[in-house]
Amino acid sequence: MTNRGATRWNLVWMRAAGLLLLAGVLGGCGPVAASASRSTTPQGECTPTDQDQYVYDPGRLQVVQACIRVTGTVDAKVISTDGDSIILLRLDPPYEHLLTPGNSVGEDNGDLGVEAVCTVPTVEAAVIGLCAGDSNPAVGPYPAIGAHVWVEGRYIYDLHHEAHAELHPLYHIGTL
Amino acid sequence: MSQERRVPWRWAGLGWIAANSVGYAVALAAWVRWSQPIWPPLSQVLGGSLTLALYGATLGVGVSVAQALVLRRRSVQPLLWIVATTVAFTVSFVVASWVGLVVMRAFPPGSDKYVSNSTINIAFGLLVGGGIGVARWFVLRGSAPAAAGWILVSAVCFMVGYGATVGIFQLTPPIEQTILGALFGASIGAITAVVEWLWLGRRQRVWAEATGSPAT
Repeated sequence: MTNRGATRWNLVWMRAAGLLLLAGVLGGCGPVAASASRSTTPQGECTPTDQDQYVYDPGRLQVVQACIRVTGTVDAKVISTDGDSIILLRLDPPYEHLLTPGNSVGEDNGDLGVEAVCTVPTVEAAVIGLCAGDSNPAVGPYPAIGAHVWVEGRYIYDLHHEAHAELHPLYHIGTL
Repeated sequence: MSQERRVPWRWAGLGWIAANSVGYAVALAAWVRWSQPIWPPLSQVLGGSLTLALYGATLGVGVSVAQALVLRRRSVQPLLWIVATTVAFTVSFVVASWVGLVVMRAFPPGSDKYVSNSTINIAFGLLVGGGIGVARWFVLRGSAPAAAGWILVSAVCFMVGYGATVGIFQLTPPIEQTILGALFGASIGAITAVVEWLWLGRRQRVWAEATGSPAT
């Protein structure tokens, strides 16, 4: 199964506060931690996190831009059996050019998929070991459906799914 | 020509299938529902191996306790069965998860996803199932003449049960997280147990000899 396959239509959003056992160490010398929510729009450049290395089967993703910030409205939220939380984002007009014809097909319905990796316990053998090593997943709670948000993530084309555009993985998200 | 003694299907077989279905369902639902907070902090412990071990142990306890309840009629020592099965799940789950990761990374970019995923699932299923089978052999080896047969049968059956379940859930609509865990687990347990029972479990020689009279 893949991140964007039919199997994604599973699991609801579950999140609890992390037991930040190693938060100090990770925050002090590790990569920038992913964050699911910020209260304000960040200033400056888009800030990637360490989540790229926890993307399942990265070879299927064509990286277009390493880090990009967009704004839009949360259209839907689903969870995949592969451990990803998926936010379907209705992009604001200035960012609609980021969509590809593939985004008009099937479940995307004209939205941009934003995938936060390793955010729910997976039942898929291919990613269990991968996610077990992820110390900074961009866990929720995520903004509610209908919320106007800004999002930072890696802009890619998923070559296994009509080359539709995604932000994959999600780095940061917050409400406007 | 001698006829092999069979364990009656009605209760023993259905009990085995029910126990596995319920055991996997409860354990997986519980893990999916409540384990997320421990994943990040434990990710630094041996590269996440502790998380994987706890994942396997949770499944092992849930499945083995349910199985032990229905295996009392097979003269299986419940505590030994539970401990052995849980240890097997724990160890094999860690090994199988890492092997799955290695296999995934061994496929070059652009590989057919169905081939790569199937390969991963087969390897994962065989390793976890094999571990379960070793535990069964260990527990039954002194009293069942054909206990070693559980190793191969468990490996293949878990692979079939897990693989079929993954396939089934590719077709499912959105399901609430805990319910998904329960259904996913129930499917693994049911499919695995049915094949196990048809293949080996109904044969008296793979259970304890002390079960001299056919169980009902």
